[in-house]
Amino acid sequence: MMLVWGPIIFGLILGLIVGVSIRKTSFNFTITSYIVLIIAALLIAWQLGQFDFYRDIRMATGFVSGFIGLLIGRLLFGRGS
Amino acid sequence: MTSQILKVICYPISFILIAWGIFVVLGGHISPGGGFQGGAMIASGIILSILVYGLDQAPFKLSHEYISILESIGALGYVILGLVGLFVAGSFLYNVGADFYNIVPTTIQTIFHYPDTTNAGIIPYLNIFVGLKVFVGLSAVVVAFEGFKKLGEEEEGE
Repeated sequence: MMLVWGPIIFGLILGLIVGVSIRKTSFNFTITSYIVLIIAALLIAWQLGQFDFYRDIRMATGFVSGFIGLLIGRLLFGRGS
Repeated sequence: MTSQILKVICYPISFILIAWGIFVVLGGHISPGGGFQGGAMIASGIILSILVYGLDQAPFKLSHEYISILESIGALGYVILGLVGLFVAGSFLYNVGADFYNIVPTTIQTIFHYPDTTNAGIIPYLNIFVGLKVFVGLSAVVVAFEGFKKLGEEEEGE
């Protein structure tokens, strides 16, 4: 089984690009809300499935890496108001 | 004044929508979707948060520089990829990553080859650039409308 790196790498980059625009919200989202969000995203990725012709893993890697990129961007730049 | 319920539910949905848009952009060469559709989905996530939170308190803050830089990268990236094909193979937007006619040096083909199993070449890169451009373009329209609305309300108040 060979991992397809295209959607992983570019999903992360696209997620980071969008994620750097995230700032702190007026509503206080705790770490628990983010954990629930991550679990929901993993479930969605599992149900989406991988693209056709990619036979590496059952999960939508582009979706997951885009989501991780968003969270990393939020952690890096989302502290200011 | 937007309700707290909307604020609580809109922020996670924006995250999911944006990640879904990225998924659609990256699958443009092998599944329905592509740069425009995925970019519109990413923009819909941003627009949702702007509509619910308002322009000042929105979690996604798109500054003028951010929008102009991404618009420029989207347009320039597309044109540069086309020019690479023109200079290397003799025709604009020639797929130097896939190289169906075997006229491109192997080094250049390796550089522009998208790392997946379908030999798509530069098509996913074009999708990514179009996706970036559409995402900031559609978001900028809503940011401008919200800004005009706020300005109009301020003028009415005076």
